[in-house]
Amino acid sequence: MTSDIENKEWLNDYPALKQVNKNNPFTVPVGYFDELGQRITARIYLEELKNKMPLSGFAVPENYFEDLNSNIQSKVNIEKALGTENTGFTVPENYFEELGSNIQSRIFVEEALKGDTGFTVPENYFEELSSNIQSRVFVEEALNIEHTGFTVPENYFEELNSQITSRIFVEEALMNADETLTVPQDYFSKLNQSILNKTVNQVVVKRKEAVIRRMFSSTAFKYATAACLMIMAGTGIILQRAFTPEAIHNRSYLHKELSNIPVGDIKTYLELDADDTQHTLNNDVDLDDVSLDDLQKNANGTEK
Amino acid sequence: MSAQVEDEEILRKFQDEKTRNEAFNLLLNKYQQKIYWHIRRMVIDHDDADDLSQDVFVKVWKNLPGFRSDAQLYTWMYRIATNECITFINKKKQKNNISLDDVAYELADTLADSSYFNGDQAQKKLQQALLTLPEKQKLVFNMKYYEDMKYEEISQVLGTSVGALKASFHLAVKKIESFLLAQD
Repeated sequence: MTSDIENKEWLNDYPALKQVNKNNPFTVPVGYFDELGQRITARIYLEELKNKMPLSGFAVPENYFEDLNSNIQSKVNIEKALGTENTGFTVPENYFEELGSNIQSRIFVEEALKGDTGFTVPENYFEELSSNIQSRVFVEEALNIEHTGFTVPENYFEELNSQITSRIFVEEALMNADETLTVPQDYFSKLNQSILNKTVNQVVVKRKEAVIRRMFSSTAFKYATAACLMIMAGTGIILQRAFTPEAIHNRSYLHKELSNIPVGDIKTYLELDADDTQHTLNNDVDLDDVSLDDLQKNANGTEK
Repeated sequence: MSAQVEDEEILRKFQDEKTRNEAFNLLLNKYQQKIYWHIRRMVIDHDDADDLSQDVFVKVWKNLPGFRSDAQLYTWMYRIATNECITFINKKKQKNNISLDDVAYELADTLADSSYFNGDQAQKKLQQALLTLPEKQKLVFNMKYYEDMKYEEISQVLGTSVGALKASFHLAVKKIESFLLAQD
């Protein structure tokens, strides 16, 4: 660790660093290095002790940890077994003492029964049983496949899928069509009540007492009807007379003016002006053919 | 070098069961302070350095029987100490879930609060500048600046080539110089 010449020359290039005192600025507690060696030695001793005795001086019996698992499990099993004594179940008296002989007796009986059951089978029955069952199964399957007795139209199963799909489509379409018809809100709830009111609850419904008037059998109605008929008949007659040609003529202005003229004046007029009116009388009515009564009637009628 | 001879003497005595404790006491007396200061400059805190120093020598005791004399004894011990320091800092970083920069800030606080630091303001600034460096650059600088170790010796400690160490040292010094100038 000797210093070389380069180590001191490089410092001249850095004046700021060169001004710093190169002495160690750090300090240690008093006597630190005097005790450091002892403390390191003590530390090493403890480390070695720890390595030599990983259990800090405690020891365990040989193979303790190898057997520990099985020992714990045995202890647990024993605890469980002891815990079953007080489960609340009981057995008959001397049950466990007689259990061994009972089991042996039962075994003896079972073996005796197995030896001769009293039933017999044909010779080689069990040897041939397997092949017989298989043959039977084969025959049954063949019969089931070929002769079920039912037939279907040709290509039935090939078209079944599309038919089902079409049917579903139609059903859905019909359902959708039904769904388009609507009823007023709460129609069905009210309908039920309405039906009940009209049927079952009919007695319960209070109705206003109606006053029955028999109009056709009353006397007043009879008289009124007769009066109306009379009025209608009278009105009809009056109207019929009022609109006859004679009645219309009587109401005319000419008739009124003529009726004011005396009959004598009319005769005189007619006689004086016979020449002037001859032609007209000849063409229309012969004045001689008209009776005096008619003229009088006519004159009276206009006077009235 | 007399130190190397003494190392050989220590190793020879350590091989003998009867003189093993004596050899280890010689080794402690010779290197305990060097190892301690090497660790202290890395972890700053005295108590941490104390724990790590003991750990290092316990490992030396355990592994010294297998030590091959093709390497120098002190560089072998420095390597153990360096690995312990890096492991400690990484554990501290993982334990507190903080970054390397945060570790540096924490160590700077430790430096400020430490009652075992009697350096002047410039020395304190230098330590603060060292805390900003990556671990490897800090190691190289410490071994070169404070311990005057050769690049070959540092190379044996860190397992890095001399050229890489020179580059690391150069970078470290430039950063420190910049830090010190910036603080002035």
